[in-house]
Amino acid sequence: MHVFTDTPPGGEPGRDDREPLIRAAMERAAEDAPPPPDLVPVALVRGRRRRARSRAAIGAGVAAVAALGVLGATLPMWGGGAEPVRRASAASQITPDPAPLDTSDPWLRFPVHIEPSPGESSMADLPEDELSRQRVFQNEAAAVLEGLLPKAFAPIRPVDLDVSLYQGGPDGPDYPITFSVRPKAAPGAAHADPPCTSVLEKHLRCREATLPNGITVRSVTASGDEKEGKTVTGTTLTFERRHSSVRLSVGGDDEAMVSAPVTTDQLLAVVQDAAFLELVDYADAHPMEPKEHAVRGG
Amino acid sequence: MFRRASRGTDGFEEFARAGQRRLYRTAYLLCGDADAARDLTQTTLAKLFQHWHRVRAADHPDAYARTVLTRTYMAERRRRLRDLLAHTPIAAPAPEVGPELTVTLLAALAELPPRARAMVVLRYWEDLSVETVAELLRCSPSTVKSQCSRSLATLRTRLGDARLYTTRS
Repeated sequence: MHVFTDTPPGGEPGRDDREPLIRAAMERAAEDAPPPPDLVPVALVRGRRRRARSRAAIGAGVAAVAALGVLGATLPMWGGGAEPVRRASAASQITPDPAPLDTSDPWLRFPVHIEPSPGESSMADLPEDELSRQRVFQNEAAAVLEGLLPKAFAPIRPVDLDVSLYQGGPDGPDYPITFSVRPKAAPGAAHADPPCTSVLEKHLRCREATLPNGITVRSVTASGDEKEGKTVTGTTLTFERRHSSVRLSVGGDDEAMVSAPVTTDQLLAVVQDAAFLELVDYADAHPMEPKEHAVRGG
Repeated sequence: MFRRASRGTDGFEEFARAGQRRLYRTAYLLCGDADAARDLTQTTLAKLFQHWHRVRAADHPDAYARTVLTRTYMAERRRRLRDLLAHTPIAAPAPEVGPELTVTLLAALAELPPRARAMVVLRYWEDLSVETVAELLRCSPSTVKSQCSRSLATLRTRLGDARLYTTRS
């Protein structure tokens, strides 16, 4: 194709004649691109290396998942500190090696990448079938949460470190979200939760409510340390359903010093929603996370 | 662009060879630089091979490949931007020496923010619908429309008042 330039015959170019110009110019530029060498052989080498790295991590990952389970179960579910959700740092969101997903899926959400700490596993270490199962669940959960939480959380994206982690918000602030459905510990293995007590001087408010569907939910709203006169507040809801302990936690952006833009009542409405409970019931029947095996709240 | 990928071990090579030129051209328009375009295309192909079983099973492997290419480009641009903010500035690659129109277009594209540039390339080079571009770049269709309109105006200005006529040889 030959492309010629000429002076316009006159008149203001409308939108319709801008597009052909740009299309033709891009066609021309693409044709002018220096011809590439055959890129396939090197791509094969690099692709095999990527596969090998992924597989090599699986063995270590399984052990780390178990260790993470212990740590996760013993993380403070209430207390004066900030919600123990790790937010994706700016530097860790590079997403250097995301697994591509089927683009025909209308719910496709590209995951936020958090680099695992040394010795920590991530979802990328899972066997492919399990990884695929968890990603599908995360994708659906992110869509449901985005539909139920206030608009300020949109878009909600899965975090590739763990199936329970998500991140909300556009380019900033970023709101860490945890949606966890864990099989309960064996009877007798877990102590009763501590009393629901508010400690106002520590900016800690605890409240229990029985929802119309009979679920008793505990909400804990906690603020982090004050910085330049501001505190960042997040809220965690916990309840039990069938064989699982459920946790929905929404944190603020502690770099931007912005609290989670949601009220406890709004979160209570989320956990009553049929779509949310459907997710919970699915994860209860098909567990995504390891069983609790440490003392909760102890 | 691509034919449906064939099954078997060698399916990837067939798929990649059939599509690498198109991917490379898109990468060239995105990067404005032959070396960067080659790296981007190669990384994209390596990622596709890593997850080849999933790509092969996709309804539209070509769309899958384009998505990986675009998102890899966006991730790389974000990284470069962070580097730029955190460390020493990284100069934008100079356009390849070539015909004047191409130089002007690549220079004009380089002035657009990465996401706007990706929108223009996907919309007017890949000829994707507004909705598909929006889905691929995780934004609303109205954002794509308004951004493309602004970008077209910018490009049109940079390309001057020249009007293009195309003929086929």
